[in-house]
Amino acid sequence: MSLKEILKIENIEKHFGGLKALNKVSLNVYENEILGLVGPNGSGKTTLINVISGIYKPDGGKIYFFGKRIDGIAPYKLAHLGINRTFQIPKPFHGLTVRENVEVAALYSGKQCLKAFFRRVKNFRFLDRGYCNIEDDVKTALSIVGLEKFQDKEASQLNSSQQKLLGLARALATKPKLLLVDEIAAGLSQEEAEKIANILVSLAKNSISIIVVEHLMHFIRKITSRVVVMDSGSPIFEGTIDQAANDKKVVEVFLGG
Amino acid sequence: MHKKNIRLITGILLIVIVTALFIILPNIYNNNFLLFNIMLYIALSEGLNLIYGFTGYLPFGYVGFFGIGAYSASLLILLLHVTVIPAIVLGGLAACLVGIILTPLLRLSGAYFAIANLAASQAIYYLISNPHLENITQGPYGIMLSSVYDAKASYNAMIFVMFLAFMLVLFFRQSRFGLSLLAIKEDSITAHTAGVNVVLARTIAWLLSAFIAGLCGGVFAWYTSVFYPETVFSLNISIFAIVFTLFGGVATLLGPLIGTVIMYGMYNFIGISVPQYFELIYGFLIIILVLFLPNGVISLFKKVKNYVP
Repeated sequence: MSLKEILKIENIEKHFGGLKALNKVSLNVYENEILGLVGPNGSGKTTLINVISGIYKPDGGKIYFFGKRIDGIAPYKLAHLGINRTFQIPKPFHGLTVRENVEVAALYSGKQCLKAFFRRVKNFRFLDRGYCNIEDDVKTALSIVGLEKFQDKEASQLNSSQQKLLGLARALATKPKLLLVDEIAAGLSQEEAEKIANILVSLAKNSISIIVVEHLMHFIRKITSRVVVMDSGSPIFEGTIDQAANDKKVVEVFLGG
Repeated sequence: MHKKNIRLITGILLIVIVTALFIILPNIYNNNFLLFNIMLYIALSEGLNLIYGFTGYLPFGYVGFFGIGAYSASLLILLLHVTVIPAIVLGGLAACLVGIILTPLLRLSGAYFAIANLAASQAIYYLISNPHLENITQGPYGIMLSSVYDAKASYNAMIFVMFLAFMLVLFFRQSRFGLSLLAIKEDSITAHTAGVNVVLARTIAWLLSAFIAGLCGGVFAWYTSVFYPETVFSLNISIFAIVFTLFGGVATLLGPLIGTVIMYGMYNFIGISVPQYFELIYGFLIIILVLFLPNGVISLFKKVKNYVP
């Protein structure tokens, strides 16, 4: 492939007790692409997302992000590096407003604020308020997902699809280069899913690579052509979605042979 | 943004007014001891608010920091002849040091943290009051600080500590640092993925909270000048600070202030006028609070919640 790979996963393993949740998983993610990660329940898709985003430490293998090794790094550092995610079950900060939810994340986008603060101290410009202007970042993130009009509402007052969008906005506020999207379309109506699909496609055009974990094949079909199919902790297929539909092993896994 | 500015202005006004009030009041009202104690509990409640209100960790052993502050300051004065004010500041830092030693407790959550923290404060208490340490801490026989006694100066020092506690809470309430703490309180894993260094942020809140309690202990020791280990390690101090903070409403500047003034005021009023009914009435109040205002008096201002400092 002539495309630049931004994420390279090599032989990642993760066990829970005797269960091998991930068994020597290797895959690549390229610049500006959306990669669909599909497979039956318990095939290790979410575990893989959790390992990439730093929530689980892998038991073996390596992960490279722009050539830098990142396996086992704490999630907040990964967020600073440019990897962020959404959760299958949205987890907003309930007591905070929609705006504040995004503000927390924007604050730490690449530690810009901290760096700017030190620059200010160094130059003896203590009263320069422009040192950390995250207003625009927050506004942009909210407008991408279309939640601006709810910005002063408490996050707990949003419905579940809005909470999913909020999770997406929060991830975007950290200015990720790689976005991990975990079953965002599950439980949404047709229009809502369509809306999210359009958002994801336009994000990929704006140079954010995305891994989408999803059960809903029609949703995947809308946003990407390249998929990796997983079963029992290992990838069993990599290619286009149409090839997957004709692959014997994939069909077996999905339809139970 | 607008709301935040209004909140900042009302917050500063509130702090100035309350501080000024305590500067003026001794000239009008002669129960200096009561005034001192109200300030002490305001400062302790605000200090506890830093850790409990903003991160959700309930430090049942908060009094441990208070006792450490009182003893460290006193022993520095008595044994090393440090002057009073630096001794009190060092007492605050000693509380921080104990806080650093206890940071692994932050790995626990909920009731487990509260219990472990309580146990830690009791361990410190028994260590200090141990008769074998009589040569250093004077064991269970208490401390006499009468050589440096100064009612006026120690009263003023308490005003300053209360002011400092207010300023810290205002900073937490207004700043993005405080916002990230609230995010951690809601969901620490999500906060992690939002880029917040959860461990660092929690530790900062924990140590600042310990520092305030340590300062309070030092100033209390100076003001009373005679005290026993059981006075400065009394669990009532923890319980009072927790109840006052809860009664007022956590994570705000105003909440613990209102809570302390109402509850401590009532504590003194009932305790003096009808002492035989004291526990009955006080218990009743707490039950009513838990049933009808679980989020404290502040929740009565729901409509203007975002404007409350």
